[in-house]
Amino acid sequence: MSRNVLEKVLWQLSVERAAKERFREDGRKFLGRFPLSEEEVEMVLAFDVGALQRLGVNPMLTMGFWQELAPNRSMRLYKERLGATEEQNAAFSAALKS
Amino acid sequence: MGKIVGGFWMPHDPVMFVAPNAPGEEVSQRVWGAYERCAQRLAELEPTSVIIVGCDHYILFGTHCLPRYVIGTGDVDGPIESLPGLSKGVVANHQALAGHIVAEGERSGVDWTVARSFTVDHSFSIPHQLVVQPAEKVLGRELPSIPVYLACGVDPYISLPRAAQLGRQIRAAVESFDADERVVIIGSGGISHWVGTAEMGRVSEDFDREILAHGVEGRLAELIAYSNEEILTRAGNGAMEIRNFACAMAAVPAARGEVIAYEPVPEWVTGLGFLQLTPGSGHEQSPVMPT
Repeated sequence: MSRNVLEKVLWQLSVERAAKERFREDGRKFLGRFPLSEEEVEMVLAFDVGALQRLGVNPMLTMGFWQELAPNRSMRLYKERLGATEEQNAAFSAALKS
Repeated sequence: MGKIVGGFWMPHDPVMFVAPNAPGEEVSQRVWGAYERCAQRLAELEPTSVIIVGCDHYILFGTHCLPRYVIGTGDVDGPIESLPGLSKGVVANHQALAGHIVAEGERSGVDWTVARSFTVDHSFSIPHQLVVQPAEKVLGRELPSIPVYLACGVDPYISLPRAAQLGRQIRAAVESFDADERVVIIGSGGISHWVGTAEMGRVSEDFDREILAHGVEGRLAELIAYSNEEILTRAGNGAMEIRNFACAMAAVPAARGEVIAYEPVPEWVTGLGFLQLTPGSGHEQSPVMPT
């Protein structure tokens, strides 16, 4: 598992317009440029932000990646994918992006 | 000889701009009003320049280069993000003073990374546009503003003692500057907030008030004694930004503080603290670097 490569990928997908476009066009092809395991590729393609964080990926990157590229950019769904409890979700106002 | 004439702690919460009405009008007005009071107090200090201590949020710097601390010595613009209510543009820097801080640092064992052309993020632009720019209008003149960025959001984090050392080195540099410079330093950030984690939206009021109390009482040693683990557990990854508070507090000679406002705002995912640091006449802090 490579936290460093995953962070490099997510950073590019959060801040670089060309990377975002290539990912939207063909995510698997884009990720093929990086030394990622098949499991890591699936993690990114599935927007499995919980698994990414468990590998040590910085939460600011998982959030940026989600907000930029996830099919459903709901922050409530993002928190659910992180395993947030009902109580944690109730406390969250969805103020960032609905 | 220049001098640090004061300092502030204040938040840089982007959610305020994205969802300004989320916490209701009363809370919202208290927070926006706190920025206005900071601007008024900044103008009353009659500064000639400002240093804003912010931090990257894994946008400006990537895995290829993660500086522990960096100072903008040349052209400055930003913010890099598009936030409703924040304008993008060029920022007047004080290049001579920024360069002097770097040169003085080299003499005293502080090797600054420099950004010769730097695009800031919201951690600089929110205090700059909500506090420095209104103060410029009150004063009728420009307040050149130097960006200093400490690693608070991305590991390896700068240590709290090192952040304070940088503050002391900035003070030493200002005091050896050859102009009659009056500098105010702003520590931008905090207090408790969880960014991008399952706990996002939680606010730790106890922690926040504890930090503000350190500021009020001038307890720098206590402020820099927190472990990363304690901060992360009690107040979230966003609270690592108290490093910026430590830097600003250490830059103000024998600082004491006054709380201008505190609002725990879960809707804006943050405990928002505003504090003014005033130079005291008491015990001086230790030298810049241990020898």
